[in-house]
Amino acid sequence: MQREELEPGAAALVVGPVEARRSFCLDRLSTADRSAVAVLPPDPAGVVEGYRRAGGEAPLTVVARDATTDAGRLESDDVRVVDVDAASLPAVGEATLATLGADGPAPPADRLWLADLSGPLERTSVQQVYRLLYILSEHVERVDGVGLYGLGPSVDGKTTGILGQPLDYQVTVRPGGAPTFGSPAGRIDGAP
Amino acid sequence: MTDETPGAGARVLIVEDERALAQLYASWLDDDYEVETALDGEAALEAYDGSEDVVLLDRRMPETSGDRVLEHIRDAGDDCRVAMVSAVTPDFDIYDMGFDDYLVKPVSREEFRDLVERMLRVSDYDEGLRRHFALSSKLALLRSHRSEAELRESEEYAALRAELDELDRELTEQVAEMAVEDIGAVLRDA
Repeated sequence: MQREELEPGAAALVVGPVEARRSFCLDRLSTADRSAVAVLPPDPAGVVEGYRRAGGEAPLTVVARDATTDAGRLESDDVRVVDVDAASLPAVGEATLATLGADGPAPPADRLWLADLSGPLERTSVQQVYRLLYILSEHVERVDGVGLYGLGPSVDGKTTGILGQPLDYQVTVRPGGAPTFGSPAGRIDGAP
Repeated sequence: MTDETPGAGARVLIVEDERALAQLYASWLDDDYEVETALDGEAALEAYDGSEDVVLLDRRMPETSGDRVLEHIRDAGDDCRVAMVSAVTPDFDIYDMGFDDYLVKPVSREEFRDLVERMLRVSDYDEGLRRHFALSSKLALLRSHRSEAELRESEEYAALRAELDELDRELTEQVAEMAVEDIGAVLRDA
């Protein structure tokens, strides 16, 4: 599959080193029309700054652990911070889903970036993370948005293969290089 | 029974120590579900056999309380949805209670039926996600041990993919009916 960009409704596993993933995802996040949401970024302040630097103009919601300590400093008319217990995947899921719904304080998000699945994989199970991905990607598709789910390159192939199943693409990013768009790890789309 | 009723035919156990109320609740459901009633906590423990899809529990009952029945059900580890239907206004003690939903009495027929339908919808979706994960795991296993050419020629692989696609369509329809908090419940179940 040759592709250079993600179309509306698409969900992608973004695999690669932290900085390359962050750069790729912030660029896509900044193209939001309605609003964008960054979930569990390691540095909420840096994400807000990076989003603006990448040209993001739509409102941004940051769903982050211990974000309350930063909230006063980060929040503005178009930046909202939601504090969650990062160890609780259901809490993360509910807070994120709320940003995709029509009833939230910001317009429904059409760009979602879940920064790194490695932490949730360490704290919970592959099945629980899979459920979160499946549910989020389903909702992102319904709002014609784009969902980006970061994964470190050291995660084993089987786990990557399972987590990629409910998604449309696997994007491999590398420092200083162009991203590679492909099917989720080894999916054989042409199989009978 | 209507075909549209979520989980039509599901088994529902109603635990309520006021006989008239238990009968009223049962009458609200028994057109669509297989309903059993228990008039106190002890009767509930005897009636419960793990095959129930939904249990509706009064909290305040003589001797064995609804909270104790809930503990028993959770200790049994069965995949059963439990809602408390109680005059007791929820307090902070609910923090570590293992129920799925809570209705404060008095409840209307509509609220009661909505509660059951919602829990069965979550239950169906939860089961669908379990199957989805199992199918995805099988596919990933095959992909990691078989060549692309072998996968292309395999009817079994194609059948797994087709089953997954069909399940996808079913889950997409189901999730459209669910509220965010219900989806959160599904995440808690994994």
